[in-house]
Amino acid sequence: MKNSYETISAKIKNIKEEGSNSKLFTLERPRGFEFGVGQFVIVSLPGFGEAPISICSDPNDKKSFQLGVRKAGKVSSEIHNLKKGDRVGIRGPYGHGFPIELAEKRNVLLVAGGLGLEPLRPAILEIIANRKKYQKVQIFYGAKTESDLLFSNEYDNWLKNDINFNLCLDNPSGKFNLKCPFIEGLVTVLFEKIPLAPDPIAFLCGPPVMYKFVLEKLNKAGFKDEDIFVSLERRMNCGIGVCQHCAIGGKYTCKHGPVFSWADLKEYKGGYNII
Amino acid sequence: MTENQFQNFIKFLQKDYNIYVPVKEASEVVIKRIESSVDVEVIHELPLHGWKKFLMPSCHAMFNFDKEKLDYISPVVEAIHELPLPQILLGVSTLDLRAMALYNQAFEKDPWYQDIKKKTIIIGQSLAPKDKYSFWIEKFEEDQLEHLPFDIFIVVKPDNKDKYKIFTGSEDGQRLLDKYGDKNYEHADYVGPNREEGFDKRMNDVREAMKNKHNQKIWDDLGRRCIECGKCTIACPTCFCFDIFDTPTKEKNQGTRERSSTSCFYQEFSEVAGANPQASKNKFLKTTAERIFFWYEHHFVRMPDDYGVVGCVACGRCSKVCPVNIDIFKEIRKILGQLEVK
Repeated sequence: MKNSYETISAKIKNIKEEGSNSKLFTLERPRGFEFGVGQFVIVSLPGFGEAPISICSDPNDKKSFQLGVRKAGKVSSEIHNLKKGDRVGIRGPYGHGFPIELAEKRNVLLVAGGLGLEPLRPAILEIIANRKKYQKVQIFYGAKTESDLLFSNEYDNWLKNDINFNLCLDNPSGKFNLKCPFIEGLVTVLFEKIPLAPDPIAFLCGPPVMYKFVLEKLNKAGFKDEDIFVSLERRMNCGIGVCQHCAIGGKYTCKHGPVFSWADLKEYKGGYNII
Repeated sequence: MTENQFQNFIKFLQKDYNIYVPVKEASEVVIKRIESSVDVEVIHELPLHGWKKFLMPSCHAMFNFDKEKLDYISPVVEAIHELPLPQILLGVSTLDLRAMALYNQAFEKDPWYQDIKKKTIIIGQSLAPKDKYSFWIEKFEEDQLEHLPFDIFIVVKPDNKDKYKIFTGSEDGQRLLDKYGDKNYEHADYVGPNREEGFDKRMNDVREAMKNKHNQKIWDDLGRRCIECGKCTIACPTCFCFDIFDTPTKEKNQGTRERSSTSCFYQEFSEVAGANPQASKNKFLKTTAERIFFWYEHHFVRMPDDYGVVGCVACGRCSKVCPVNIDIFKEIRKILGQLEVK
């Protein structure tokens, strides 16, 4: 019997500062390790525990994969102490990610708030790798301030690949020489300033409060619920739909999610707010 | 089997197994390991705390680790199971067998559970509890047996000379009886937990109502009464939520990864990492009402959806241990709209 809790070992090839309090880890891709856009792994650091982390790299890259980790808890803080050449345990990839295949031949809107850009970056990189498969692509990305920005050295490349990248900063410091133009305010501001491509499919990732307001905007803009996909965060222990920590209604964030169609989530008539 | 033959059979089993049986103590029924000289009594009453710790230790080591390498700890070899194996669980009621059917499904691919299971013989029995919570319990009929997971089952007929009618439900059960030299048993092949018509209609009604007829008043009321002690989750024979965590030893990079049962009523159950995990934005079950709803939803919605088995066996243990008198059967009637919500 395969033991679902066993991990495979992955070597850290590179570590780089990315955003504030956050690092980008490039790991050797173990043999047979295939992942889809928006899936996650459970990183095991014996002595400290395990934590679910989104894969943020190009699924087409067969040699390595990347994890962006912000210092937030016990495990993620310890991950920050790791050095190039160290090994970590990995299990997964888990869950259902963004249905990128549904975005083919369509206009695409990606909305990211803060760290929410991490699981959406694989979608951006896949779109660039197969640019002709997709129609007009727009990114709405909101961060607190310049120092929080993730992957800021890549925006040029995104723009070059005919991606309409739009940035807003909630609290710009003006201290950084940011090449990319931005609008001041929360991510919802972008909906007021930037015209949307007609009838797009939308992939969202950000904090719960962002969903509340962005979903209102999408609803107003006439998006169909089944064209909206959101990635959710929950506490997780097993990663395989048993331990119950990540349950939402009758579903598990680890197994049926972390990406859910808004049409499915909205159907839930239970006793608490999902987002 | 006559009473005498039955006692002899148990003494025969004791040679190779540790046998556990529910025993009446002063204030409650507890599960005890039987001594060789004492006769066993099969009783109506349910043990207050069920059998789950015998199949899934409440806390156990999963792996030894050395740097990033994990080594499986077998519950059979390393006795992480606090109770010695092999074991016989004797006198398990049909209610608790149904809870075991659910555990078998939930931990079907769990190596620790399966390892313990392989070293366990389950002997069920037909007597049902007789207390104020028992009105939901179906009267025992032999046609239920093919839906209950057991190795041996004893139908107790108190007025007969042959007081115990024996069924086997597995090859292990047959082997033990053959070895003992009693061929006078019938076999009931396990065909799965549900009858052809699906699971218990009353429980299915609760599931439908939970999903489609949400009445927030019920949960607000429970939210005011429940004190989140988590006793119901410990007493419940089907609750199985768990945490996984590491315990390092003094040796650098070494220690054990452990699994421990937990309760969805505990604050940290739904907390995620952040500068302040207690902050409301980092906790997904924010109120008592949300937590108790989550508990009911697990039993009446997720368990049947995930495993095709109802998550409540109507044992009433949660109500017996509840310090604020939440009676699950009254709450079920409220969910079904049969009882007014005040």
